[in-house]
Amino acid sequence: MSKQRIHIGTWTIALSLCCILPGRLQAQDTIEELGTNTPAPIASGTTQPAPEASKTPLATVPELEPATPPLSKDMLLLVNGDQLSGMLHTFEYPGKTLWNRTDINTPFEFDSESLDEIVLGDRPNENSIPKERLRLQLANGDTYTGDLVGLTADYLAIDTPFSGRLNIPRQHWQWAEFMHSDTKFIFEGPKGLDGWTMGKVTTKELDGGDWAYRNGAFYALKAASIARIIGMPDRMRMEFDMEWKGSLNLAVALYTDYLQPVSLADKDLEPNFGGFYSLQLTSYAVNVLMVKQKEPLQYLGMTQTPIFRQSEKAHIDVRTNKSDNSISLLVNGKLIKRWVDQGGFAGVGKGIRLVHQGQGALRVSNIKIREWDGRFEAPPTNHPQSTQDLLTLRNGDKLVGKLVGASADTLQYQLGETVTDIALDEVEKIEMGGIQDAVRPLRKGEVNATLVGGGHIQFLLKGIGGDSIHGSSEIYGPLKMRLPAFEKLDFERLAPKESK
Amino acid sequence: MLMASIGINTQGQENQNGFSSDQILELTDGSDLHGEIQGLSNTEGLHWKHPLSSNAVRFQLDHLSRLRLTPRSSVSSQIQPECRIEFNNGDLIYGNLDFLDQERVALTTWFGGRLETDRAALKRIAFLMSGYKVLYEGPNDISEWELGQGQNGWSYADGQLRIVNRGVLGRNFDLSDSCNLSFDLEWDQPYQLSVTLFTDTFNRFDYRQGSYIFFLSPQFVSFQRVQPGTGVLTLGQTRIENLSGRNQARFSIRAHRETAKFAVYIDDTLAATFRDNRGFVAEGKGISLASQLSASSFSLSNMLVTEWDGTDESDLNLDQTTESDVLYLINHDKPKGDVVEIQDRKVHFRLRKERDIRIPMERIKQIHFNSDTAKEENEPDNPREIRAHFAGGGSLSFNLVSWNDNLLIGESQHFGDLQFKSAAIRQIEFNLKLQSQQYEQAADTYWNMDHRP
Repeated sequence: MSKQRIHIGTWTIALSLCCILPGRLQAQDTIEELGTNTPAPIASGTTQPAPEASKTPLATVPELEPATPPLSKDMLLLVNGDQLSGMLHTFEYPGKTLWNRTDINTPFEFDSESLDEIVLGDRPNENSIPKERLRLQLANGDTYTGDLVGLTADYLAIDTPFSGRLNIPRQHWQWAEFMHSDTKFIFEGPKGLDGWTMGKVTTKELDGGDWAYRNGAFYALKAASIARIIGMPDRMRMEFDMEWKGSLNLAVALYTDYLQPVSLADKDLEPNFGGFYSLQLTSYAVNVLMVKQKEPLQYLGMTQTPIFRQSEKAHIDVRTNKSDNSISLLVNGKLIKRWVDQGGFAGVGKGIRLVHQGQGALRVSNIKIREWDGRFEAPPTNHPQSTQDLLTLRNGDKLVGKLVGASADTLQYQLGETVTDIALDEVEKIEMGGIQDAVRPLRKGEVNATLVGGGHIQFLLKGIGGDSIHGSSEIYGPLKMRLPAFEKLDFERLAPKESK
Repeated sequence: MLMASIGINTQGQENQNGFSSDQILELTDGSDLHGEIQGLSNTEGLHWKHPLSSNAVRFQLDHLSRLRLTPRSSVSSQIQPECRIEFNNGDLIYGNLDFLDQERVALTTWFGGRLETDRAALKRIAFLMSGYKVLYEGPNDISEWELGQGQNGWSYADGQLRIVNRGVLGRNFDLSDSCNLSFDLEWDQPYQLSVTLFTDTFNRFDYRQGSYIFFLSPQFVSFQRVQPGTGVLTLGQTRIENLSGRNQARFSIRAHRETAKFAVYIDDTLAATFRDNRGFVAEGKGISLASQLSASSFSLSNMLVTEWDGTDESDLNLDQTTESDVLYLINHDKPKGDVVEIQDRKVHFRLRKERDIRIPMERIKQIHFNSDTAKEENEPDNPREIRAHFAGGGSLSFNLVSWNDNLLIGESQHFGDLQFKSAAIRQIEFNLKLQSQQYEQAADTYWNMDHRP
């Protein structure tokens, strides 16, 4: 297999041309050549030819050794609704899935077609993880993070934490959002229970429990409270993902200085605490309360919303701004409500507290807290039918043109007749023109795989053994991926048979 | 009177996804599996064949939580239990009292024949005035219910009737003078379940015939009488305090024609009582269940319909003293003393330990035995110890010996060697001490439950 190299630093940019032709690249540097269908090595050491878009290439799966045992249990869901915890031993498709437990004499041998979902436990993650400067969205719905390697007329190359180098045909990716090294997260997690304070839920009405940590997420099955002093800035953006079963009823205390849950009915009897805001998310409505001792509770305004009844998961995005006394809630990218406390900003602490009210089960993951510049992002504005790309700079400028190339640090963007180098540090987002949604249901043998830390990718799953997942995709070609990078494998769901 | 046949022949029954659902195994970590028992013993563990696995596997006993057994055929008995016998270790049996003296007690049960044990194991005996008659045990299949017309959100799977959105269903239970409908209710969303008793219309609300309707929600129980000509009248409403923050409870809804008395119990605690001062007006023989909220999602399981003798258990809270036995007489007297002997349907009672009297059993509602002689129970912390639940109610714990198609064989420190027909067993619990504790820790398992079978 040949491995052609190019020297990014000496890419010849023809400012007068509308695009960069692969033939003009100089093969002198250390990254794989892009824009070729010849096989190219990927970081994990397997071969990965640039794929044909129209068919799923065959993947060769080596003989499978037992999968690396998880630190916490794996969970298997079968198509008949059964669930079985234990350890994934091996998976082969077509073929058998062997599933083991410590209390059985021999592994179960399930036909791999009878699997509905595998929830993977934590596994040792010793490989070096590449930088994740880029969040990518593909037309088929795949979304994940990685580090930009380069771009030609035909391919985008990125290094991913789950599969090393991926070459993505240009017609498959819709947009890329850039994360910048100067964007510092004040908190990213959870990564465990360390640093968090588990609260005691002592109300007589509620059967109290604790939050549990597993695989990058907090879980609560009963009323439970967990809190942490984060160092919340005056203008803050807090994002997290949540999933729930049954009723949703979560209270998020913002700018609290008190790490125990507060019974609102008896708040004046609680030990002294400073004022905070309680953002309440329920199946029927969202609400913000200003909570201070010795003062009446102030409801800043409840808004009924069906959004939490229509799904069992959501991406929550909370923006606060002390200068205008505002708290804003976005759910799945849409602004639901902006509250303004006319009495001035009451939050005096720098902590957050998550209080599950006890109905249903709740999972919270991917908590990210950072300073906020006070601006709301504009929604994607590039029309799907547009033939032009849309580049959004960090200063808010939007440039309609054509992305013609990229290196690890620079984009080559054609504006009119002129190709201009734009430093990645200045770029917020690039939306490709003419790439329409191409989401389709899973086909037989395919999975929608959820990545630890967020994101998902769809592929034909051929085998799991050792530390690897083997698969293939019409977009990526043969894939060898790292098992510890995945959290969940969702198989094609069989339609339920008619009850007899 | 014979005990009614209980259990419906469901051999070959399939669940929603079309798989055999004969038996369900629950493990202490929250896993649950359909399948078939191929063997069970205290030495070999549980040999289990899952329908989607090509091989059978053998589980050690120490991670088993519960086996749920779908009846393959109806069971019936010539014995109608007259007593509800509670033991200090939590066991409960419906049976007949043969004799009791200072040392021993002997019972006859429909499921295990004659059982004899130490008197010190006894906690309470309730004498059931009209006997214990089981009218229905289920649910067993959707086909045994009449469904409302049009859009109907009821479905059946794995021993549960589940409703999503609205719907009504019902069936004839041959109710006559009393009814005790009990079931486990599990909900994902706030529920509003209406239970219509003594109706002959099962697929809709029918205000042209007499019936009684209980409206159940997490906050309230309300009660209405439906009477032709006079319409619907609310006879009472009671606020429910203890269901906040919960998603499951066991309900028991009771009605008694002679006294026109009605009661709702939640988790064996009286939640509401009602009375129809005009007398009992309903004549129907069935029960219908309806969900009235479009956002509802809840399920009913372990449903049992029996007759009710009208005894209000709230007046009969356990009054176990260390010194004396206590009799609860039908005239509401509560004499204390020693039960010396029960034989030939008479209780030999030493009143205040001074005066011997003999009281016919018919005049006694309950006997609460003193706790002084209560035998110290061994903690059920060995995986051999199981609790078998019997068709029609009642359970007994003992050490497992083995199980085959026809017989469950065990040994008990109280009862000695035991043998039960396997058809009489509805559930077997294992690791009684460990299971609740481990279930709490099974966060990831719980998370993946769409609903628990």
